[in-house]
Amino acid sequence: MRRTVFTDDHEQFRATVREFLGREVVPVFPEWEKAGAPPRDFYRRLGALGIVGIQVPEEYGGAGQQSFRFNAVLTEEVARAKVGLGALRVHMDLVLPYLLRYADAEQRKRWLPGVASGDVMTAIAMTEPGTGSDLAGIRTGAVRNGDHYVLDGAKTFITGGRNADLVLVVARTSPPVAEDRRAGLSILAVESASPGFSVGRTLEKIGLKAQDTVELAFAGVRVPAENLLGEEGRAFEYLTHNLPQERLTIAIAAQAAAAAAVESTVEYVTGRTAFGKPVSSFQNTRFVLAECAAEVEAGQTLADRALEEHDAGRLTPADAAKVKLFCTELQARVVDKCLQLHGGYGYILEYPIARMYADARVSRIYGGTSEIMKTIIARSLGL
Amino acid sequence: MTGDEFDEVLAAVREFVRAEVVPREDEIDRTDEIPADLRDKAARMGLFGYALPPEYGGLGCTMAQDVRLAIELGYTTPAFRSLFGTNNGIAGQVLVAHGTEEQRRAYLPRMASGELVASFALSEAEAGSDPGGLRTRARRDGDGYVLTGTKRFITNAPLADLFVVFARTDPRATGTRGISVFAVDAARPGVAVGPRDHKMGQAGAWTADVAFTGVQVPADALVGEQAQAGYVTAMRSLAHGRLIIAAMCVGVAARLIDESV
Repeated sequence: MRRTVFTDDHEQFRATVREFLGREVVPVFPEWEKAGAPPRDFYRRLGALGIVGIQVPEEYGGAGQQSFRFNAVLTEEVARAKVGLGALRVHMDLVLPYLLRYADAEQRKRWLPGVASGDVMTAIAMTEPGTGSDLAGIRTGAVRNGDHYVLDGAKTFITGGRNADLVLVVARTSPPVAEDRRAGLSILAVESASPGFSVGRTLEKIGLKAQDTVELAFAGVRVPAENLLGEEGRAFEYLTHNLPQERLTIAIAAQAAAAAAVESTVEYVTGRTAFGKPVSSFQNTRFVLAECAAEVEAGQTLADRALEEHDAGRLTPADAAKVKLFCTELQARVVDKCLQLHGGYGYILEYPIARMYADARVSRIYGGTSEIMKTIIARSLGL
Repeated sequence: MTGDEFDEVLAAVREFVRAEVVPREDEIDRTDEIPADLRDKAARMGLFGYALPPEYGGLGCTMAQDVRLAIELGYTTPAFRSLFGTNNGIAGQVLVAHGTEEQRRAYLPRMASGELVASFALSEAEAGSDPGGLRTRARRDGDGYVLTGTKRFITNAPLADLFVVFARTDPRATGTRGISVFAVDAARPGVAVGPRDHKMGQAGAWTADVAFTGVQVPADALVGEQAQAGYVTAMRSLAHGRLIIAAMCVGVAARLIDESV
């Protein structure tokens, strides 16, 4: 069905991105997968093209777009090209909103120009070895000492941590209180060049091979007090505020990946023959792909509506949870069915569907698991 | 094998799998290879031929016993069973059920001891779910045959000493007709194994293309005395293999529950 969320400006941007990805990313993507991340300079190149700073205000060198629609277009095109741009989505869709909303004037001046140009790459460090879905259990601590904090602790599952210059670290600045376990958490912007900051193991994932996920350790890292983002003790509220956008971007990526899987499977079954006729002529193939196409259409409509609601500032946590749950579970079903239609070739990594399958698995986990999404939705039902 | 004998074998396999193979799964995954000492121990335990008849050096497990072993073997990486799976299963069973006495004597004892690895070469690039679409041909040439064609996703091909190859011997036949089976030594001129397939998982279990380019084989390489019965042979062997895959999955499921708990 015709989509109504995008204007000509978005479609022009889409054409530019599509052409760029086809020319500069698709041919070298296997090398990025081997290396585990895109080269550092690639982000500067994207910065120079104005892509990284699309939502950064113009005074800091960005394009000043308030809308999330351009980000959505970029995410869709990346999925369509069956590539990944490393930690770019974390940088643009997850970290930037914190800087835009909570950074003070001086911090904006310090960080935003580099963030827009790709010279300052960012990451966000929430999860710890002992905390996943339960952020209140964070143990990394920051103790105020005159004009700085002393940060100690460890984080894991940090996307883009290997190349990040600035990491937003969620740390405990005061002990939890009995009536509110979530109190006492703060966000510190930590420069990775600081003494005591170290990057640990790169975790080996089953998919998303061109995106590094690492462990970080902080041993007495001195963080200037002016690197506190927003107010002390309010991190949980800030995190909660930004989660809907994080979940929306995951949903959009999942949705676009499902659409790409259907597209490439249609192509595969048309070219492949078995029992003397094209695989596409078997009723099973047609039924399965018809189901997938109908699902993708439904998911698209939901994701598009959510995008509109988000731009209008109305996307609630429960809305975002519904969209993430639906689109990521949809991706899993669709990609699995599409792989099955590839037969043995679906298991061989040179076929894109094999990689899409491995990449899809984490959608239902990161940014909040499907079970956490259901918990949020159930709460909104008064349960 | 009698019940008591089998119970001992089963217990030994269970112990070996859990105490010696499971702890080395990371290594197998990392190196994409079953370590030589595990392979040797498996051979000494008779695992390369547990489903082959005792008169040819196997342990002579019944189908039911074979299934119970597969459940135990399913508890660890599938690459482990894959190493001797083709000897006991799809390739070995073709020779057991259809080979001539000479062929059985020539191959089965060495397969049972682990000295020789046999591969089952049926699938092709354009013949997977539909093996009747295979294009590999065996042309009659004097007393023997000349094989030409390429097989795909052939398990254990990079290790194989012997290929059980399905090829069309009747050039006029199509579909499931006119297919014969040959036992082809991997060392024969014209047999070429391609690079290992880069799969999503199952590290340590190797599959590859095998090309047969004008490979000359003697008349007695024809498995069984009757040509053209290959399709039925393949289907019987695959039916056996499917039961084993199901059993392996039971073992995997048990492992997953243990790991998750």
